[in-house]
Amino acid sequence: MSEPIENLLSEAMDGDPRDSSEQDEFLDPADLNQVANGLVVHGLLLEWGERGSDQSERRIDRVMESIGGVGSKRNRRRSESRSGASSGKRSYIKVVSSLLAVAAVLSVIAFLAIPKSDLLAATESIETIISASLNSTDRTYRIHVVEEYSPAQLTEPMTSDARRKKETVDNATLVVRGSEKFVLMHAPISGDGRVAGCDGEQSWSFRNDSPVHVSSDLEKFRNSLPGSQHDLPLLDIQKHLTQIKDGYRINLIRGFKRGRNGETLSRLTGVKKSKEVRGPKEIEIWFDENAGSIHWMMLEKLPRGQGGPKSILLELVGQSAVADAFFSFRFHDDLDRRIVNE
Amino acid sequence: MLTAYLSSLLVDKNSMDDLFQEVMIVAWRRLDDCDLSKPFGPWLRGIASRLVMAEHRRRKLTPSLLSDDVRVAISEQFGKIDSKASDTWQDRSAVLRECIDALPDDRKKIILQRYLEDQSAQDVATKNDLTIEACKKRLQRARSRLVQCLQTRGLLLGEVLSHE
Repeated sequence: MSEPIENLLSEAMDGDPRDSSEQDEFLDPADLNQVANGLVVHGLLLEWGERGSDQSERRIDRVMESIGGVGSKRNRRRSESRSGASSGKRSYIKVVSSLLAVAAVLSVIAFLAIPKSDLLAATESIETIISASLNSTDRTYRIHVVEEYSPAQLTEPMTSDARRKKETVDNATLVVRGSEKFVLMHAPISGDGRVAGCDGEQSWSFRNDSPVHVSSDLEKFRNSLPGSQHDLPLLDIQKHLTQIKDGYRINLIRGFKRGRNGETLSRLTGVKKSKEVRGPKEIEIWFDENAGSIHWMMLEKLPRGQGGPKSILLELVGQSAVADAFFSFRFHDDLDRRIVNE
Repeated sequence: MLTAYLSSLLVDKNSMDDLFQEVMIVAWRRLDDCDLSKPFGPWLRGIASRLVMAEHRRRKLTPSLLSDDVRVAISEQFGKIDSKASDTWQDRSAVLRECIDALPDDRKKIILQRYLEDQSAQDVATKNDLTIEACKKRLQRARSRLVQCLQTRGLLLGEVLSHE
């Protein structure tokens, strides 16, 4: 293994994880298996070191508490003893070891003790977010492309416009106010420098090297927003959530994890009810139930058309109010570009 | 084994509980999608891999080592470990323990301190009068030796390379 790769591996396993990201060593195919083996042994050693502590048991209890408040050891033992009732599960429980024991316990609980979906609570939560969003402040999201379709998976060749979208949407910043005003700033690293927006009276868009295109059609330049090609009204949270409520099988897990600032985030998941519903196959929303604010929104398995990404993540990075003028192109056009009305 | 897999994907200790929980809950929610006639482990690891990469990305800490190819290779190794169906975790850990015992004393000592006593590399270095760089190098070599031992014992895939 080359020394830089060895150092990188060592740093990843024994160093500060914050230092292990922004490095860009080329991984020679010959090093690939050795890197993988090093990581596997590291994982086995960590698990081995942890065995004997009560860590594993605490994790399982926590999972069970999350999925229905039945996480006590007593309940778990009772569920395990009743696992014979689920004969369809028995065969694979035999095949696997500790990993599967955890999953088996969960599946037994799922069948015997917990309603599959607390639809009412999930629906109420959507309504909470909707009502909070009506009074919400400005929201700033960072857009991450989590997964792309490979060229082979695309049903049709990408148009140049679609290719451009694919190249630039990752790491873009989206500032939203209400259901109409927005500014989408593509990451400067893309070299594109495109900015698009709408101030509620006109929509606009320009690139580094282009005039400002302006239109009274407020939806004219929304096509650069992820999901726009699938009728996903990301700007209009109310409409978006209503769409999810109607078109998706939804499920809610309350108090799922802590947010960055210590908020308790609940997790709302949705799976599309049918192919007739437009939009991603699955949606996950992590939100602060008290404030009604969405912290992360994952759109998974977006339809393949037009070369958009397969999965995207919207991460809330700020809720500070921005000036009204921010939504006008004049705020961003520091070169006094020519204006083209469309 | 799920925690071993998550650790292989460089999930740090602070995120482990949350990710473990998340994987299990997603697996529970999607249990209907699981084809029980096929091995369960790869399905669960597929869920785990996606969630881990999303988490790395969310924290802007995606390790450059975790390329798609490396993740596939890691999954294959865990598939190999799974395929020893009659083995329990105790059997596997016995093999691992034997390999640790076969290490030279100085390397065995730091591996035990690092993993069994859950000390940071910096603490291990201090205890052993080593610079942090020397300690990391020694840990790295010890792990390489363990890889070879586990390959020889059939727990890991791959040809046995002898170097150092």
